[in-house]
Amino acid sequence: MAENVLEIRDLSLSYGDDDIVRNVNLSVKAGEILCIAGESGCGKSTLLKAIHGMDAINVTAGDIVYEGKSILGMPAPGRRRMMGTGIGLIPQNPQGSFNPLRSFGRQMKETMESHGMKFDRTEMVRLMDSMGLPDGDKLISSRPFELSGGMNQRVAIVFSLLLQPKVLLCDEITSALDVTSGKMVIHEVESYAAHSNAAILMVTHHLGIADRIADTVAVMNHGEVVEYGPVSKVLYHPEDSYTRMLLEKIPKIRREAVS
Amino acid sequence: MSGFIGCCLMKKYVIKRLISLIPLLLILSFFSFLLLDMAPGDPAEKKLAAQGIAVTKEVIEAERIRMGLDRPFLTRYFAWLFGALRGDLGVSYKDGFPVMGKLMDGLGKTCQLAVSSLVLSLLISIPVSVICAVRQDSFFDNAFRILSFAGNSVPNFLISVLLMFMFCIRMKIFPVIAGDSFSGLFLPVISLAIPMTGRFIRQFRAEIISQLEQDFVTGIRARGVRETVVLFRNVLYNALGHMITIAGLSIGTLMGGSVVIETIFRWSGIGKLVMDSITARDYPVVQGFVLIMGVMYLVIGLVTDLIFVTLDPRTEITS
Amino acid sequence: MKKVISNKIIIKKARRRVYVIGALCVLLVLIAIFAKQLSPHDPNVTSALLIRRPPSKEYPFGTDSYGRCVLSRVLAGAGTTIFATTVLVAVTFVIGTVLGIISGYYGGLADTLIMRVTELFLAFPQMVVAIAVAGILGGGLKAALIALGATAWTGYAKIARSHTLSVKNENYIAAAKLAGLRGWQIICFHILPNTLFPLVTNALTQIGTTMIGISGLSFLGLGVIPPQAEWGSMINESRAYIQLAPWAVLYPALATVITIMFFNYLGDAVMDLRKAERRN
Repeated sequence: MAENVLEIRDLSLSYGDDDIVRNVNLSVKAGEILCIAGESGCGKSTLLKAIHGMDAINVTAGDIVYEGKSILGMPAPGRRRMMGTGIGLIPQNPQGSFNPLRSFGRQMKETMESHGMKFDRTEMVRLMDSMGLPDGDKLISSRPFELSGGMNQRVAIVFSLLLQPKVLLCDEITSALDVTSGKMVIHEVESYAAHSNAAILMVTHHLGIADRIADTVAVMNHGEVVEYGPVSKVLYHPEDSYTRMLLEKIPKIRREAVS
Repeated sequence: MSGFIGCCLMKKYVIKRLISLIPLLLILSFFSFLLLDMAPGDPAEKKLAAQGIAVTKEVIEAERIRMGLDRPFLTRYFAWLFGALRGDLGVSYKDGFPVMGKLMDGLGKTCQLAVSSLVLSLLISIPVSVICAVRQDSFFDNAFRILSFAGNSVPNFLISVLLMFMFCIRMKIFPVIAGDSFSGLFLPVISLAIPMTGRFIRQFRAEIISQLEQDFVTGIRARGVRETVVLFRNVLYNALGHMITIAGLSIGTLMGGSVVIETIFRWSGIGKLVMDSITARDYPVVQGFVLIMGVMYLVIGLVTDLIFVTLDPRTEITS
Repeated sequence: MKKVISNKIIIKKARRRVYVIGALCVLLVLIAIFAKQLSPHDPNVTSALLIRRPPSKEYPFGTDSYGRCVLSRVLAGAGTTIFATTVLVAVTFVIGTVLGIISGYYGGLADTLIMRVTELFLAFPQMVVAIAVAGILGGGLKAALIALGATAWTGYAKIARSHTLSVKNENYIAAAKLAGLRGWQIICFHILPNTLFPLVTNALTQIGTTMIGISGLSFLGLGVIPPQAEWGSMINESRAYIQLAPWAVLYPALATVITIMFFNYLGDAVMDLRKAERRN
């Protein structure tokens, strides 16, 4: 378990003319949950987007290495095969996951077929049930625009988990959900990491979540990692002043409720 | 959830549209009838003149009574309307043949033109617009954007004149008088298809690009779905409703454009019939033309809307 | 991963394009306005001796079947076409915008009524109506304009209405009402500026369509009454003799195509500019 599944080495990113991320070094091993925390605009989402490589982000320096191979140099077909089953993504915006006009079932089926996997409807229903969506069978035949944002988000998480990625990138996945659903979702992600030994990179501005499930925490401020280490150290004995300020901002009640 | 609610709302939408069609049809018929009354001069006199009969006051008076022109406007309108509902649109001033029959014959020929040009345009524009959208700003894209812009900017009568000059007179490939032959179909169809293809490429391309820029495309790709599946089963599928609407709307432009084309190439469709009738002051035919064309346009509009709502019910369900 | 071009550069290029093509369009309009001064001959003077002469120094575009100078007629036609188009676009712009704003702002019965009428006119294909109306009214430029205009105003009405509806409930409108501004004042100072851009864009794209419509109707003999110079009718008059005097068809055709292309391109450029600016 000593090898890193995913490594981010000296990564600097820019979007247009602006430098968003500077000199970031992070890594995760199989089964490890890394939370990247920070306030809005610190670059944590941009970091995730660079890893899955979809948006037009310029890599100005550094590398991203997955299972020992550089992602940035990978040719397109290999990269496509890696998406979803190697590195999975749960985007922040539920609208960003699905074609609103086609049923969930059809979309999952074609995703599975693109990876040569078989679409297991019963497994999908089971996962949906554990996310608080009991009418799984009917929902699978519905189209995304018929459901609320929160429900869409939960189905998106189901989609990602069904593909059984080795690395799961989560981008503020609870922000579209109420507290109860959020807890269900976090619990599901945690148990997925446990039984499949996947690595999780969870971006959140919610330090309470990090406290609950993370093994390691990285705190970002204005595009740089200011603190990085095991959760016990970062959240309870922070060295950096910014980290301390973030922790102080959390109302005491919330910290107790989430842990 | 989807099946039942979707179906129920859909039925309501269809019924709502069909009901709203009725007043539109009524006003259309009223307008068509009014058109005849708006024509300067006396209809009885015009009819007699169109037949070449010498007009005196007594003859005109007799004709007016025979045509029922002494009755009030609304009476005449309803008489005409009920006749129209039975399929009787009156008779032509020129030769006394039933207007409906003449229009139907012409319509058949025009449909040959219209359908052929629509199919040709779609066959070219759909693949081209897909390639342009996917390969934005490439040489192919820029070249076709320029071509479609040019095609869309040239009036179709101009294209016809030029084509006729090049192919019929200079190169003698096609007959000058189209007649009703198959080879006579070529140039008219091409003249109609060029501006339409240009317009389709521009609009389809824009719609496909707008779909490609949607968030969900990124999400689907992030799951590792194959690019062909992303493009055809998702992007193109979403753009289809819009594309069908555009194609449906251009039926109206086709109908207008066919008048010019048929006149130039002497294709005996409904357009040529109308122009000849206008020249001969055969107003019942013109009046029937407006009615028939209007009805066709409304029906086609309804059908395209229904197809659109089936593919993308979002706007209807939320309203 | 592709390098992203800064949006600011895109906006600058788009703006420059609008200025250049806008200047060219203004040039065309100026040529049309000063047509009489620029014409070497009277466009309506016929001459049996000068029938179908090829282009020469004295007649740069040659002469037509009636011995008239083609260049002078093309210039005069520019005046006709551009003047008629401007009038039609301006009138439909005003009517459509006013109806649309009233419909959106006051809502209720006015809205329903105006929307029904709009739907009604949209239910007719433009050219079919134009041909029928112009045909029965007997032709002439005025009839053609009325015929074309009958369906053209609907675009402006729809745009004006939808934009009015979207800003109607904004805070600054409520503030203006509280400050005591009357309805028409709110419309003029707050709603109108907001919706002006898409309306003007629509007008620019309508210019090309209108020109095609006017020249199309004139070509059919339903528009301008000869001997008035207009490109569509000129092409129709001369097409029978196209083999003997191709210049009589060629030059009006070129003029038509170039003018329409310029104005269409202007409309496109303005739309591209708007899209780029909105992305910022």
